[in-house]
Order: sequence, then structure tokens, then C-alpha cells
Amino acid sequence: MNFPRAESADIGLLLEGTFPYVSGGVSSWVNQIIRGFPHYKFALVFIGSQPEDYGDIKYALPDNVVHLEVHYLNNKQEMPPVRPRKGDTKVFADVRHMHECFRFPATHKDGLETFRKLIPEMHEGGGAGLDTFLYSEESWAFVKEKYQQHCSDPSFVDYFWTVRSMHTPVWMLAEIARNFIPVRAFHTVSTGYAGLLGALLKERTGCPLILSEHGIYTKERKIDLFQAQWVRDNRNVFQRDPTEISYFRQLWIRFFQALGTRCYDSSDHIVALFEANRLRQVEDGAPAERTCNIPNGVNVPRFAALRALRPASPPPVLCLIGRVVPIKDIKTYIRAMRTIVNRMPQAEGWIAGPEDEDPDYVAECRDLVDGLGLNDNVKFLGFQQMTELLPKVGLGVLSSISEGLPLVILEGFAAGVPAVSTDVGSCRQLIYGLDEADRALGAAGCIVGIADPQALAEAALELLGDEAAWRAASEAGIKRVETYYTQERMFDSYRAIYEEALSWQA
Amino acid sequence: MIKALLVTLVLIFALVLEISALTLLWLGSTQDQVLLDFLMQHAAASVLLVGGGWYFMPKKFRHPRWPMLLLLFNVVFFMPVLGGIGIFVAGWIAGYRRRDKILHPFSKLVLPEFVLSLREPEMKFSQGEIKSRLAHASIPTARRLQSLLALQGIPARVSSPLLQGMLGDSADDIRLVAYGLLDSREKKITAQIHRELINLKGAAGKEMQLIADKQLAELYWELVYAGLAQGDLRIHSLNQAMTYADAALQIAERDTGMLFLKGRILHQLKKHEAAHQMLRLAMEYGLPEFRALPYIVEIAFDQGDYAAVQRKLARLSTSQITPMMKNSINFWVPKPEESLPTLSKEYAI
Amino acid sequence: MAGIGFELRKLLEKESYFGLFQAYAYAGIISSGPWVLSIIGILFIGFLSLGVVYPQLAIVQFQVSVTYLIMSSLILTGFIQLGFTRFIADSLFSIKEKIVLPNFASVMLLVTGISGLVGMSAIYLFFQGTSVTYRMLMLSGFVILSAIWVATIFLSGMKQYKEIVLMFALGYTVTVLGALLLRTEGMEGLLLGFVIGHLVLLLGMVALILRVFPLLDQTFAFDFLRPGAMYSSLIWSGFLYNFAVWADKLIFWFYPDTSQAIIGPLRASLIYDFPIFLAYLAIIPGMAVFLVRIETDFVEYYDKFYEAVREGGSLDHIMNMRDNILFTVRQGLFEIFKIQAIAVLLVFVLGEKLLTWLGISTLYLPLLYVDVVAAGLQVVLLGVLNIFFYLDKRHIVVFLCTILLVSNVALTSLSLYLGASFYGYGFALSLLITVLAGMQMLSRKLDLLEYETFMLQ
Repeated sequence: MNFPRAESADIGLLLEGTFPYVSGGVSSWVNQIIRGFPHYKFALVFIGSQPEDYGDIKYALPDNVVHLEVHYLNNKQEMPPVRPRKGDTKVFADVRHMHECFRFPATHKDGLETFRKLIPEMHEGGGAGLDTFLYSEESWAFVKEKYQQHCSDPSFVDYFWTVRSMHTPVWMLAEIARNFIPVRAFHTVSTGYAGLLGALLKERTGCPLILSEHGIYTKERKIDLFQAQWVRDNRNVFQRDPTEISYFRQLWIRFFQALGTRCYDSSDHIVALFEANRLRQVEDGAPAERTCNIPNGVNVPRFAALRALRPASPPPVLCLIGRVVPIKDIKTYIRAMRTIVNRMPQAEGWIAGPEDEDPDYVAECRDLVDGLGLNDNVKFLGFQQMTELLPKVGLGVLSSISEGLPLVILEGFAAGVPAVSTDVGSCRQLIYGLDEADRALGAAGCIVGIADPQALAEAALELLGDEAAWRAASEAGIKRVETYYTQERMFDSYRAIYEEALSWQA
Repeated sequence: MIKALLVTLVLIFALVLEISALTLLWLGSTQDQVLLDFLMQHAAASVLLVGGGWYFMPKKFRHPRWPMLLLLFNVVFFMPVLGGIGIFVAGWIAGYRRRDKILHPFSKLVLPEFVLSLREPEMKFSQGEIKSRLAHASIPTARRLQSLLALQGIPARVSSPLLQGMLGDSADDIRLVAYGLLDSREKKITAQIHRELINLKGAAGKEMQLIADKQLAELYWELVYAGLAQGDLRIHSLNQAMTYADAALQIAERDTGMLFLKGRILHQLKKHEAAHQMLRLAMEYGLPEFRALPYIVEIAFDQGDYAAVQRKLARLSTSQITPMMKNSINFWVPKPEESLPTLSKEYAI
Repeated sequence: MAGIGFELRKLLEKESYFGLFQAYAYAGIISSGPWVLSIIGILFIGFLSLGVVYPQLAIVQFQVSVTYLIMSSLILTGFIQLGFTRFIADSLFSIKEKIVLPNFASVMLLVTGISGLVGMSAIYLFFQGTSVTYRMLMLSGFVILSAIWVATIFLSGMKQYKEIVLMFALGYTVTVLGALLLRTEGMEGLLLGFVIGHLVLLLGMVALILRVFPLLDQTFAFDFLRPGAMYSSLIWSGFLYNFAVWADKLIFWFYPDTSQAIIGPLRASLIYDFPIFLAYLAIIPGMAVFLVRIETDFVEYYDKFYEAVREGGSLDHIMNMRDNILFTVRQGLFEIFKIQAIAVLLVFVLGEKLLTWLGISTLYLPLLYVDVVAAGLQVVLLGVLNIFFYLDKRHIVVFLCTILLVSNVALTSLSLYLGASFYGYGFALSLLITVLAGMQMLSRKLDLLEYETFMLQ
């Protein structure tokens, strides 16, 4: 695959596990933004885990993407040659201090300054290079010290390798930052590794850094880690404190929190999708004065045209649009379908979204369909064109356990499809309205608790079984999206931020 | 035959040559020429000896040919006379007595050490029940999260309803952890069900079919018992459990375990009469009374037959009941010395 | 040597002085058995032949010839001793015992071939003027001894220590009896007895090997010659060590002032040789202590250390085990020092009487003192080298052996230059230097043990 290459660009977009390799809400949004600003040249950095996890590029690259580089963090990296060395005591004093800052943000406030001191040392042979981290006696002493101070898991060898594998990507990112082409501003679409890359780039070049967070990266990682099976726990019966999660889970959680801290500290603009997320960012350490909310917007006219294509009465078709992954909790939707089909045998439940991300989960979902005898009613459609799909759908469903501001709900609204959603992210605000005026527009569907198939089914049945209620919800959705969530509103907000950031040099 | 004769001749010639060579040594000469003569004769004798001896070698020693011939020659040549005898002795030993298995003698296992050098785990429990701590949103999320995690160590049947309650919590993290815990439990059972379904499909013969049916009935029941299925799903699971219990009973109609399970399923489906009958049937086929009786009592209670509750509880001997049951018995059954017939009358109304 | 450690531990677990004594006695015999048996055997043959074999020079000729045979065969096989030991250990560890016997056969082929060719060239080129019988016996003896060293390695690899000692005892019984029967034939008779005895020893070992290892389809295999199978560092350290410990003797043998021609090209240094061989008898207690310490405590903690690393022990536990390794090493070396010090003191006190009793001039006494100290240091060095082998620091071993060789050559030459009162100091001093360097490096390596284990693997 030949990627576009350039000597320089206007905006460096830092993308972790999303556009252009993964389709989904965030990717569509990135696509939308790039196409919304055709006069800017974008340079893209895609950061993935390993090539096998992604297929081909899922999006046609817009013309104003002049540069794309792809990096995989889990790829077997060529390690520097093993050579014993002492390590620089002074540099390690800074490293030690930075860890203290991560651990006690309330009392240690100079984490950013320490980070700035360390960045120039982060090359092979430098005081804080990968070789120093891997092979120096100072580094060994540091690892030992931290293990003795904090680790509650008995296995030192597991601790040692967890720390090693956890930290090595940091140097990979430093390497990417060192070799990146000159741009005038950086824009990262998450904290995490991309966020750290943003912080490294910002501190190296001084160019402004914009952070747009759709979900809350650290929170999502936390959910993953609570459920991850690969994290080891070696505590025996006597050592296990039932109220404490395994130390390695804690370690990983704190690692991602630290990545977030670095990114928040270095960002000039911190954009959330809605208020609750913004508050969460502030709680996680984002400086409140740099935060703001910019909700997603959709291309309303494109979807408005679909309203006419729908049959007169709402079709008894429910559709969950989204990737088939655990966070979407597809299973709750399938279970709800059992109840719905019990009462409305002609009802169909569609699942429209790519299935290549988590094949195990897809298999589990299909087994569940099988086990509940829903083979005739529940259909896995794979990735679908929204414009073709939406006219056939009577009700949008979102059973996620975590969301940001889901575009699929807005697109559904624009096409006149009301939605039933779990009470996550900004879904309540989308369906019931945010402020007084917004709420006056009416409910565009229904909100239910997470993992409650019964409630989900009841709510869906109510909407599908009562044509008047359905029409009211559909109308409310259309009005809400046209008033608050248009693409133009979003572009205007971002235009202001981009212009400010790009004017920095002049 | 001719070959053997030829070989014997060769060996005899080798012997003659060797004796001739050895007599050279006898002379006690110090001349190099004598040494060379001896070496030549001895070498020729060695070659013939090895060549002739080759014929008598067991087949498996004859391969690979050149290294073996060379080794034999080395021994015969560099260790005159004695080397040849040695080869015979070594060959004899190799062919016969052999001690196997002394490479891996039994080894003694050492007792594992208990290492108590770790950082002392801090026990962070304080006063108050998990339940009440979880319920109060005013308690910091981190503390409530700990309480939530502690639920992992509690049987699913007890903790599942609590966890379900937490799904509606205002704190994101609490919701998600509760969800994760419930989900992993459910996932485990579902995965087992899936495995058993495959087993059932591939079951060869009634035996295997019975095993799979019983497992499936138990697993579907477990979903309900552990509180992991609600509403229609609960009914669905119960129906599934029933289907497989019936299938199992088709094969083994006197399986008390299945009858007992079926009785409990029927009870959960609110088919009280049928449930009662099923449990009686199970007892008839050998289920101990003390196991079935509490459920029969429960059915009677659900049916409003309180006199029966009292009557039946009295039949449970104290040695066979759990402490939990004991409270119920103390409540329902009057102690012999205090005659309080009014109680039963009151409820019998 | 895990097998021996197990038996020793069993004896130690009895927790009685008798058990302890048994353990040390056992260890002493096992560790220095072959070595001591050969010295005693040769001295014994000489002793019994006094008055029977004429001229008396013949006895000396016999003893010197045997010494040369042992030395040259040890140096020649030094190249493969350690490398092949490691190869066998690796093969057994990775449960490839099937390939062990075929490789043994191939090594035997190689060793008999090379030693035979080397020996033949030697008897033809250098031994002109000696009898053909003598030359042939020397050739046979050289090939047989070379084969014996290889078989010894092989059996040590199999943990058959007891059997090795038994075989040596048997071999030397035959040697002594043979020499007694044949002593009427003079020097050649004694040598024939020696050759027959060692051939019996070799046969015994081969028989033992064949009993342990079933002969399978394959009779020959050359895996040990594959690059990396024997580690070049081990090949060199084996050669260097053997060469280094004989270097001073060789210098004394070929320095005109300190030596005399004995037979053919063979020269000996009567003033130097006797004391040093006697001194080697004094290492028995040191070797015993060394074996007990290394094979029980050290190996125990060494195993526990790596087990803790692999199986996920806590850092405290790992460091604890490291400290225990350090402690046992220190303890072991210290105990060797103590016990050798006692041996040295005993020799100081009783040396004169001993020499008189053996009919040796007391002029040897100062040299004997120095040599006893040197032999003691050699035990310590063996201990240090062994620990380095356990830690797989092969390059350090090569380095130490090189130091030993260079310093032994240099200081021995210097002692020759300085005069008779300095004889023996060259050897002792070079050992001291090497031991000190070794201990210094050992101390550093053990301090960095976890660092290197984790960070530099």
C-alpha cells in the first residue's frame, strides 16, 4: 500500500485505533472533519496494536490528506543491543519525580516540567533512552524500589515484564515524534498513546495541541482492564484482599491515567462532546479553563431525504448500528429481542456493523441468538450504507454500556428514526433534551438502564406498538437534530479552534 | 559356508601376523626400523582382524560402516592384543546385561516453602455491610468500588441481585464494574451451555446423551438460580431447563436428581401441584426426605397451606438441617414443652 | 553434580556427627578419588619395586613415563573435556539422551584416532634409542588414558561418581597387581602392568556406559561437532586450565639446572616433582569440603534462586535466595580455607617425619610447604571456577585460566632465575593471583546476579 508522503502539512492528526483502518463513530467523525476543512492539509499518524488486527483501509483518503504514516505498538520491536550500563543518577531522579507526580497529583504539580526535561534524553544512548530503561543498573534499582514500595502481587517476574512491556511503546512514540514532518498544529482524537504522542510533539516543537475526546479513553481502558483475562493475578488465598483488584490491573489503569495526564497537561484545547464528559476530564486532571464542549453534528439534508422512503406505518424492525464488540453489549439487545418476539412475533432485530474486530464476541452473540431460538428474527447484516439501511428501520437501538455522543442516533433522528438507548454518555441528552428549550421538543425515544433486556424490550414495544407515540418521537428527533446537532454548528466551532491554533506561528 | 571358511582363514592369517609382530618386540630392539616393521605387521594384522571380525558382528553394530571400522581399528591397533579382547567383552556386555532407567530415578519432592515476605496486605474493611455501603451514593466512588469488588467472593445467588441493583448507579465506574462482574458470570455459564450443546449433538449412544441432557438442564437452571436471567429470559431458561430435564428423564426415568430438579423448575414456573408431585416422586425413588422437604414446604407456603408448612417442617429432624432452616423451624414448629396450638390455627385460617 | 548432592544431603540429614563424617568422607573420596588413587598407585608401585627392579633408575623411568602420559593425555583431551561435559548436560537436560551414546562413540573414535596419530608421531620422532616395546607401551598408554578421561567425563555427566571411583579402584588394583607380577621384567614390565590396569579401567567404564544407555539404532553421531554445541569458550578453558597447572612442572623439567634426562626425551625434576605430588595428597579434605558445600547448600539455593525467578517468586524471596547463594559461596570458600590451613599446619608439623619415613631427603621440606599451600589454593580455584560454570560465566573462566597460565609461566621462570629457595613460589603465587582475581570477579558477579539475570538476558 502506498501512503501519501509530504514534507510538511498544516495539521497533524494523531489517531489511535480508528480512522482510516477501523470503521465506527469516531472514524466517521474524523472523516467528516477532514472533509469539512478542505483548505487545510492534514498529516495523519495511525497508531495500532499490530497489523493483523486491522484489515485494509476502510475509508477513501480525502484529497487533503497529504501524509499518512502507520505505526504498530505491539509489533516486535528491534531492541537495542544488550549491554550493561550504569545509568545516570540525575536523570533517574527526574524519572522518580515524574512517577511521584503521577501518583500524587495533588501535591506534586511539576510533572510537566520534569517531562520536558526528560524528552531530550529519550533517544538511544541518552540518559532516558530505551537502552537505559532496559539494561541499566539505575533502572533495575528503580524497578526494584517501586516493586517493594507498592506491588501487592507476589510475582516479581510478572511485575518486571509487565513494567517492561508496558513502557516500551513510550520510546516508540518518542521515535515517531522525533521523525515526524513539520506541521503547524497537532490534533489528537484521544488521550492514551496518541495523546502521549501529541504531548511529546507539542513539547518538542512548541506547536499547539488540540485534544478532542469522544469517549473518556482512560475510563474505557479501565473497563477493558476490569474484564481482561490476560492480566495475571498471583496472589494466594492469604494474600488476596477481596476488595483490591489485582495489582497488574491497577498498574495498567494507572499507566493509562498517566498517559492521560501528560496529554491533558500539554493540550491547549481540550474538547469534550458533552458536559458530563467535560466534567470527567476536569476530574481526571484537565485544566478546566482549556476545556469546552463541541457536540457532534450530522449532515442533516443527506438523511432528511430518506424520510420519504419509509413505508406509511413504522416497520417492526429494530436496528442496532455499531461494531459487534462487548462495549456495545449486543447480547442485551439480543435478549431483549426474545421478549419482543414473544409479544410481537413479526418483529425483526438487525445488527448492522462490522464483525471483524472481536470474532470471539461475535461467536458468543451468534450462539446466544441460537440459544434463544431467535434465528428467524435476529439478523447480522455486517457493515451497511446508512442511507440504504435507515428507511427500512422502525426503531434505532443502542444497548452500549459506554458511549460518547453517538452519531448513529443523530443520523437516525435526521432520517426520522426514533431510538431506544441505554443511559450512557450523552444518550439521555439526545433523547430527552439538554436544557429547558431542548426538552420542550419532546422525547425522541426512550432511555433504559444498562444490561436490562426486559426494560429495553418494554420500551421498544411501547414505541413500535403505538403509532402515535412513534410519530411524536420521530418528530422530536428530527427537530432536535436540526436545531442542535447540525454539521455546520460543529464545523463553526472547530474552525475557530483551528484558526486560533494555526495563527500561533504568525 | 565358503564365506565363513574364508573369514576363518583371514582371522588365522591375522593371528599369525600378530604373533610374528609380537616376536619383534621380544627382541628388545631399540632400532627405528624394527619399530616400523612392527607397526606394519601389526597394522596389517589389525586390518585383517577387524575385517574378519566384521563378519561376526551383530548387524546393528555394522552401521555406519566406516566410523565403526575405524573405531575398531583404533582399538585393535593402538591397544595391541588387549584391545581386541576388550571389544569382545564390551560387545558381550552391550548385548546382554543392561540396566535401564537409572537415568531418572525417583526423586524426592521437597515441601514447598511458604514465603511470607510480601508487603502486608492492608485490610481496608471498616464497619458496615457491603449492601448498605453500596446503596449510599454519598460514599466516595472508590470505596464503593471496593465493596463491589468484594462481592466477587460471595455466591452468585446472593450477590447477583445486588449487582443488578448497581447497574442503575449514578457513577459510571460502579455501573461498569457491576456489569463486568455479572457479564463474566453469565458468560461462563453460557460458554458451558454452548459446549454441552455441541456434546449433545455429537453424543454417541444414550449414555452420552443422558450426561449432556443432565448438564444442560443443570446449567440452564443455574442461570436462573444465580439470578443471571430476568423476566422473559428467566422463563425461557426455565423452559430450556425443563426441556432437557424431560429429555434426561426420557432416558433415565428414575433419576432422582433430575426429578428433584424438575420439581424445583416447576415450582419456579409456579406450577405448584405438578412441582409437589414431582418432588414426591423423587422421594419415592430414593431422594432423602430432608432434601426435598424444604421445597415441599415452600410450595405449600406459596399455595397458602400453612398448616401443611407446620406439619411438614416438624418432620425435619434437627440434625439434617442448615442453620438457616433452623430459624424457620423454630418459628413454625412449637417446641414440645410449650404448647402453642394457637399459632397453627391462626395461620390455618 | 545434582545426583551426588542428593546422596550427600541424605547423609547430612541424619543430623549426627557420624552422618556428617560419612558425608565428608564420601565427598572426599568422590572428588579426589581418581587423582589420589593414581598418585598413591604410582608411588606404591615404586615403593614395592624397590629392591626388586634393578637398576633403581628403572623405577624412576617408570614413574616419569607415567607422569608424562597423564600430563600429555590431560592436556590433549583438555580441549574437549569441558565442552563435551556441557554438551552431555545440555542433551540430558533437553531430554535428548538418545543422542548421548552415539556422540560418545564418535568422541571415542576421534580421541583414539587423534591421540594415536599424535602418539605414533611422538614415539617415532622423539623416542629414538628406547626399546620398541617401551615405545609401543607408551603409545598404548597414551591412547588408553585419553580415552579414560573422556569416559570419566561421560560418566560424571551421568552422575555416576561412585562408579567412577569404583572403576578407578579396580583399575589401580589391576595396575598394582600387574606391576607386581611383571616387575621382574624391569621398567617395561611395570609399564605393561600400568597399561593392562588402565585398559581394564577403560573397559569397565565402557561396560558401565553400555549398561546405562541402551544401544539404539544409531551407533555414531556427530552432534557435538556442530557449531555451538560445545562452546568455544569451554574448549579453550579446558585446554588452558590443564596446560596452566602443568606449565610450572614442564618448565622445571626442561630447565637444565633443575632437571635431568630420564628416558628418551623425557626429563624430570627430582627436586620439584616429589614434593608437589605429595602435596596433592593434602587436598583431599579441601576437595571434600568443597564438594559438600557446593553440591548441597550452593546448588540448593542456586536452584531455588532460578526457580523463584522463573516461577514468579517475590523479589524479597529472590534476593533472599541470592543472599543465601552468596552466603554459601562465602561459607564454602572459607571452609576450604580453614580445612586447607589445617592441612598445611599438619604438613608443617609432620612434614619432616613424613619425608624421613618415605625415605626422601628433608631438603625437600621448604618446597613441600609451599606446594601444600599451592595445592590448597588450587582447590579454592577449582571451587571458584565451578561456581562460574554454574553461573554460566564461561568467558570469565577463560580469562582466569589465561591469567593462571601466563602468571604461572612468568613467575615460575622468575623463581628459576631467583634461585633454589624460590622454587615453588612461582606456582603458588600465580595460583594466589588467579584465586584473588576470581574471587573479586565472583563477588561482583554475585552482587549483580539479579540485575544480570533480569536486565541482561
